[in-house]
Amino acid sequence: MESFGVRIRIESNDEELLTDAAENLRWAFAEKMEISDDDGDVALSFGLEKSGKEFILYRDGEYFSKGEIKKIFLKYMNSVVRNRVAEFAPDHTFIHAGSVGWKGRSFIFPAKSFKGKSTLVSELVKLGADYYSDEYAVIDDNGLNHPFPRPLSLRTGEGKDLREDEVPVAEINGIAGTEPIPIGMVVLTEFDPESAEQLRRLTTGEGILETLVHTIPFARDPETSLKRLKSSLNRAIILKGIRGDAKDFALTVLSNIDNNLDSELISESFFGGDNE
Amino acid sequence: MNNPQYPVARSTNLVVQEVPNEVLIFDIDTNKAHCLNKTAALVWKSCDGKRSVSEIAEFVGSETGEQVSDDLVWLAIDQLNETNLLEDQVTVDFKGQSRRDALKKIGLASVIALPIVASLAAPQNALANMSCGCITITDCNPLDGCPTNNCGQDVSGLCR
Repeated sequence: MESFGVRIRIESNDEELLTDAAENLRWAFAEKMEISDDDGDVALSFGLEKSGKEFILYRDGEYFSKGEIKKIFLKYMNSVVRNRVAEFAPDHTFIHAGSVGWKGRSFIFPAKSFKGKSTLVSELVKLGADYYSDEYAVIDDNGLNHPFPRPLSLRTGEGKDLREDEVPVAEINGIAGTEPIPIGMVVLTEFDPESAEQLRRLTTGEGILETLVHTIPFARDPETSLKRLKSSLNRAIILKGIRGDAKDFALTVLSNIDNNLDSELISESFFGGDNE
Repeated sequence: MNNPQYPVARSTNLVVQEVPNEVLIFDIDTNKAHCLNKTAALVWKSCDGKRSVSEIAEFVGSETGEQVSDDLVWLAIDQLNETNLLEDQVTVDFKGQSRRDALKKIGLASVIALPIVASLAAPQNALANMSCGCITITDCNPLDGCPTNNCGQDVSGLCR
C-alpha cells in the first residue's frame, strides 16, 4: 500500500486475514491510500501471521504484538500502520489533532488521545464545518492543511460500558473537506466539565512550542517539522486553555469567528479576558 | 567595562527557526525546545564572544530604540544559562541582589519586554501521545498488553 508517499508492504500467511486487513485499512484511510500488488521499494513492512487461534503482528521483520480477537488485532494493526505513515510521510508533517474546515480556513485541535478531539470535531461538523480529520492535521511545505477524513471514532458510555464506534462523516450529516487549506486557528484545549471556559492567546512561537509536542515526526526530523509548523501557524490565531462541553464550545468557536478570521473581530469574552 | 565576561551563544546541535519577534530552538542534546521572546532572542544572538554584557545591552538598546540596562541582559543570560543555550556557563552578576529583587527592579524600570525563554520537553517517541488503539484495559489484554506501553490505567480505566 502507499499513502502520503510512504510505501508499506503488508504480507500474511493467511489470505482471508490479508483481505480483511486491506478492507480495514481502506476504511480507516478513507481515500488517502492505494493498494497495489506492486512489490517495489518499500520503506516499511508488516507481517500478519495466523497461528492457531492467534494473530501475530510483525513490524519490519520483528515480533510486535499478538492477539486472539481478530477485530481488535486489525484495529491495532491499523493504528500502527497509520502512525508509521504519519511518522515517515516525506512531503507532509502529521500533527496529532482534530481538524475542520470553515470558510476556507481550517481549525486544528492538537491534543493527546482521549482528550475529546473527535467529540469536538463532530460537534463542529454538525454545525456545518467541513470534516478534515479527528486524528491528524496534515501540513505541507506551503503551510496548507490536508484532509485525512477517516471515520470519526466516537466514544459513548463510561468505564466498563465505554464503547467506540467508527462513524463515517455522512452519518452525522457532515461533509468531508477535499482541498488543502491554510490554518486559521489552533486551539489547544483540554476538556474539563468542572471549570469555567478560559482561553488565552499564544504568540506564534509559544503556539509552535505547544504544538510540536503533538507533531508526530518531530523526534525524527525536527528541522522539517519546525519549518512546516512555522509555515502553517504563522498567520493563525492560537489559543490555549480549558474548555467545557464540546457542543457549547463548538458554538462559541464558530459564532466568534468572522469569515476572514480577523483576530480583531473575535469577541474579547472568548478569551476569558486573559489574552494579549 | 562593567563585566569581564563575554558570553557565546551555543551553535552546535541546535535547530533554529525564526518566527516574527521570536526564535524557536530545538536542542538535540537535551531534547528540549525553547521559545525566546524578542528580548531574549536579541541577547542570545548578540552573544558572539566579542561583546561584554554592557555592549550587549547597548546592542539590544540600539535594536529596540530603548534604554537597556545590564541587569536586563543578565536576566536573559541567567535563563540562557539554565537552558544550556550558551557555549559555557556564565556567572550571573546581579550586583548582590537576588534574582527576584533584580527582576522586580528591572520590571519596573524596563520599557521593553522582559526576556523570556519558555521551554518544553519534546516527544522522544512519535507514539508518546497516541492511543495504542485499545479502548479499555480488557481490549489491551488479549493484545498481549499494550505494545506501545501507552495503555495507562488512568482514573477512567481507559487505555490512552
